[in-house]
Amino acid sequence: MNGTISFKVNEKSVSIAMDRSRPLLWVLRSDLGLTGTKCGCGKGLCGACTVIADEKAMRSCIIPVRSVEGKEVLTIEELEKNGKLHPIQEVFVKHDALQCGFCTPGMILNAYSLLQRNSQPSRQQIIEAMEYNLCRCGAHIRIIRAIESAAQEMKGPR
Amino acid sequence: MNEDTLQVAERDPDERLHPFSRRQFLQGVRSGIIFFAVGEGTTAEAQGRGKKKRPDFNAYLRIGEDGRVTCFTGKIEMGQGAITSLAQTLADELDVSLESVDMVMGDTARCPFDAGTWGSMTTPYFGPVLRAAGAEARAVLIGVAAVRLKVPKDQLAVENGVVFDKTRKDRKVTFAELTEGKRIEKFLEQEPKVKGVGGIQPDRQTNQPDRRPAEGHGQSRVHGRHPLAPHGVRKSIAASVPRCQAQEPRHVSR
Repeated sequence: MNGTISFKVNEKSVSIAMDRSRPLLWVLRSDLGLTGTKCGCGKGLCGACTVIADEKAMRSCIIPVRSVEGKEVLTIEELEKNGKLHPIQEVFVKHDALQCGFCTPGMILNAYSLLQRNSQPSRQQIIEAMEYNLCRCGAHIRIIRAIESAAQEMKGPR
Repeated sequence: MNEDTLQVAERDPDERLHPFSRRQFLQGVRSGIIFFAVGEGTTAEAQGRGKKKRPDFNAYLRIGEDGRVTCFTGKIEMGQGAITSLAQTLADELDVSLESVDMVMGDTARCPFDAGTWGSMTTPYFGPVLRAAGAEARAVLIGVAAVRLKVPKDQLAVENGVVFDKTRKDRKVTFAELTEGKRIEKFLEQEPKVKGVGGIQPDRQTNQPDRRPAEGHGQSRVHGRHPLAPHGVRKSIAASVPRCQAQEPRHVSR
């Protein structure tokens, strides 16, 4: 299983020798120091580990790093540019769409992915798309409101 | 020991916390009533010491030479906001600014014992304990300020950690000047009078709830850089604290 993995993370190329079956989540957190992506359940059920790989939302805790060979991975850290928050981050703050904040990076990236696919989702479509991102603090209603608001503000893919 | 003298200096070995005469002390030791406790007085040790039923408030707070207030609690922050609400509670009782309170949470070497943070019990069960500690400290410091400023106690008020004469605001002394960063070795005979019950109180002037959001709370969490491990845990014991989800599992199940 050992070998070298090469891919792009947040627009930077990385190439590391490692066990290629390791979950992508731990490569991001432990090897690359990108701790914004969280481990919630470790089973791909809660969505806290969501990252974007080649424009698709992925649950990094259950995908081996070899499956992102040559791909472009985006984590929560990349959304903020030059100290300016991404519109989705802005609306999450504005609508208080979090309490402890643990699910938040996953929520934001899944919402990012939704808005890339469908820039004007209906409320029902938002709920369906976010169905498997869990929030133990119960901020769901504010999260939906925030995403509706982001769709308004963004009106088209970033 | 003069009741009005605040013993903030290092303890006089003959007097310690108990104003016994030497003779009384030796009689007490002989009859087994007084135990000779050896060792530095840490804040954790202070809790429950002495003949008072109330815990020593020094276990919960320390006012530094720079005026910053450190709050010690066994409760921890896991996103529920206790790091903010307990600071607000203590700031309310002491009449210091919220910004001047630093929280040390869950450090078993420095904080009072706590059974755990669960059940929505922090505010109703620990809140009153912290309020009583803050209220007693404030009352003691006012008492000492009264002697120092030569002003009767009820002519004094406190704002932002400054005790001042209500009739002459330039007659004042700060908490920092009074404590010099040391333990406060003076206690109240009666129960301290707390200002409120539970957590955040309404603004006492307007009776409106204080709705200020915790500064930067959402901001720091939307870019994932906010550290979410329990706060104030010393590195030496950090490994044993629930950080299993923060570190890669040693096994990989397939």
